[in-house]
Amino acid sequence: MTLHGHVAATHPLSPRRAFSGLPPSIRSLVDYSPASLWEQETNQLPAALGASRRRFRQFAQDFLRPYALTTDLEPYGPSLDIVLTEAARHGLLSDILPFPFGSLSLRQARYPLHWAQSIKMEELSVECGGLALAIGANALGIMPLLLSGSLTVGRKFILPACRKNLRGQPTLFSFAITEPSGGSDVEDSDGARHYIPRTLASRVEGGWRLNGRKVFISGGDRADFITVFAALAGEGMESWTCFLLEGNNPGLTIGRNELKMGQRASAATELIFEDAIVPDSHVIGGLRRGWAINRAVLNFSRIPVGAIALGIARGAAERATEFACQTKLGGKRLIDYQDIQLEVAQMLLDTSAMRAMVWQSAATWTPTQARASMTKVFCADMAMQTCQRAMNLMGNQGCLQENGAEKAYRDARLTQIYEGTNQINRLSVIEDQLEALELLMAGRG
Amino acid sequence: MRTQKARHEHTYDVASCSFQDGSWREENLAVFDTLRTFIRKEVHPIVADPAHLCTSNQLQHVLQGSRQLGLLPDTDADADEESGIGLWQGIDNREGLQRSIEVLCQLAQANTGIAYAMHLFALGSFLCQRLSLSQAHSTLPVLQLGIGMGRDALPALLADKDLTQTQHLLLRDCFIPEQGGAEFLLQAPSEWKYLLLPHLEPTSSELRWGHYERGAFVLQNELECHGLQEIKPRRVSLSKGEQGRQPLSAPSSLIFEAMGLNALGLIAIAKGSCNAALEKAATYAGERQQGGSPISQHAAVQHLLGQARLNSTAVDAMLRGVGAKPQTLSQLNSILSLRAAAHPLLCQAATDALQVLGGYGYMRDYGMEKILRDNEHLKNLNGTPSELRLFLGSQEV
Repeated sequence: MTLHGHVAATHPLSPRRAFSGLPPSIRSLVDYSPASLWEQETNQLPAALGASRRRFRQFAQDFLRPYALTTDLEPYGPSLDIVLTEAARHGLLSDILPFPFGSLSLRQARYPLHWAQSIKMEELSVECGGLALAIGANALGIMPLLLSGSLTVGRKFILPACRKNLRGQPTLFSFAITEPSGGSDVEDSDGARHYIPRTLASRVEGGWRLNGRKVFISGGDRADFITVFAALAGEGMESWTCFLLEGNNPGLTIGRNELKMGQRASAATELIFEDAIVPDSHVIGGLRRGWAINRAVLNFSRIPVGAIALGIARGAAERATEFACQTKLGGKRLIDYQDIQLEVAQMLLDTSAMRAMVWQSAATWTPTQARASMTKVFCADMAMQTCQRAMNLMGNQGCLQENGAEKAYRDARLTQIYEGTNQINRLSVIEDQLEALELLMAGRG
Repeated sequence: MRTQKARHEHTYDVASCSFQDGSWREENLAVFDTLRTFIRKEVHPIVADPAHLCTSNQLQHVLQGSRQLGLLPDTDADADEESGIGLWQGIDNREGLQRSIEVLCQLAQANTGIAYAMHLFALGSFLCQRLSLSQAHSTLPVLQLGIGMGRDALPALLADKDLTQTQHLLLRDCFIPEQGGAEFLLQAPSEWKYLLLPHLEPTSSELRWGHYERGAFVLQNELECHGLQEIKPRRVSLSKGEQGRQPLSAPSSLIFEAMGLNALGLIAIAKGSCNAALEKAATYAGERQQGGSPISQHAAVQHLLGQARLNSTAVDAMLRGVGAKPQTLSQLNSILSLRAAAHPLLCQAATDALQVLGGYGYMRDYGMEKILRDNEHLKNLNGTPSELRLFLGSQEV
């Protein structure tokens, strides 16, 4: 079956036939592969990561695909429980620690954690951005604990959670920084300088009393543990401290789950703290270290967010391509039309460029703020273009939820907003390059 | 006329009318004033909470109100009468056409789905009048021409060119066949009683129109969709028993008028909803603080608002340049060019406005995400920008 406008792979003029006649030494330089781009790119990964990419894709197809459309329409039904239980059982909620403590293989642990996380988030997001977030938000919630560098914290909180997850009992963490009056302010140093924090911690005997409100907290409605960032009473943002709050804390009220445009399977929840007592042992990373931990978490999380955008875009592109191959128009398949081939090629090109950036950024052990932000911004913006292209390709059918592209568009739109809006992230790039720019300003560049 | 009576009941506010070049005559300003009062009393109360969609009963109520006002015809007699405020009525001159565009803009500023429903009924009524059909007030047109919009075959057909075999095949998929069977997507308010649709005569490849009662169609369940969710789409097919119906004789210009007015209506609705998005974004930017000052003082936000305003103004200028209803292929081409350019600009404006609100823009409560979805949906209805480019590009040589 040959595409209109192209010679068959068996034709003497096809690259496949032409290259097959070259000497073996030359064929090691220029060869044709019948494998899909996905296969080719997976094969380029280190073997351990390539294997996990295959495993994540299979998991997403088995457990996310069947629930993607239903959880989009009915976000808080039983489907999410099923998906989270399977994710736990398959090690997707405990892959922040290496074996035997968690599910990360020792071979995978030779590479940066956020690389494996990015690969996971891409594959899950292909099937559903919302379910991917419901799974991925757990790692975000655990990151402050990991970045505290405390073995005690790891042994006391992360390890038991990983064990329960591996037994198929989802035990989830959430990351709570955003306040009703402060979204960008808690993700930008200059904004934070002027911001008056509203979630405050006051000293009590043996611990801290938290009061305030956090909003838009991913997975906050079902978290067993929440890493809450609060300022110490009477002090400013410099005093921000990370507290680990247990989900059954009597001072915690789960507020409303927002009605979101997309990524609906994962709740964006309001958390209300009214005299929530947190013992000293639950202060993560030390007092007044919260700002540093927060910014460090963002450096790690923004790359997987780029991967979420990439996965959503790839999902839209795959659905549109499948539609083009299955739909007939004027006696031909849609994919036989040259303009449709150009659109499909552009989607492959764009997602491949996004992936190159994600993998390059994720392959670094210490991702800089600029690198993380650039990855997030680029992928989020490109994902929107790809989703629009996919909808456009399907014509009026692209507007139907059942065809997936419109859902991908709605899911992708959030990646331009969370983990700092793309505007804030662009300013983060500048902040990261401040000293280089100062040299230029002084004429010493 | 009802309009004349209404204009004395209210004062008008020129400043809030988007056509501010001073060229509206007083009777038009009174029409807009009447319209704004209708929107305030009848539409705003049911769309005030963006978290809750207007129900089909509420939509029906508003449509009924619009019939009493004269926006839509209530009876066939009304359809023949030019009320002054009637959508797609009195559009033989520029002013009349621009008035309908403005009316749709203002309706869409309140709610895109309601504006779209009114546009469909008004267009159905206009086409029925041109075909001297009864039931004009309850007829909807179906101009969704299938995926691909006929590609290069539709312009060739409309230009009376000889068609190739491939083009015949494309047109077969472009129009709903008279003999029934083929499915199409219908996104229409539930109270329609008749559908008016173009068919392609199989042997002569001539366009002709069919007017069918609701009972002639097989309607499937409502489907979830991206935007305009007040009106859920359904898959619909013409029952096979309907074949053999006598086709309607229609002037050859009717398809240009139908496609052209539909395109203008869709742009006007998108433009109106973008006005609402800009208004919401500007208000939010003035109130929300970041870094110790209102975000309106941040260049990043000014850039978003500026780009949205720029895009919206460009589309406004394009729309205002339309001087007459399209009656030729050339005039239709102009309007479709405008549509291919305008919708992406308006979608960009809507997404920029949403971005100003950050996380709040993504939540249903603020109404911004709905405007963005509605705009994306409108962009892909009855011809995506790519399909329009093919339609236009194939005529260039």
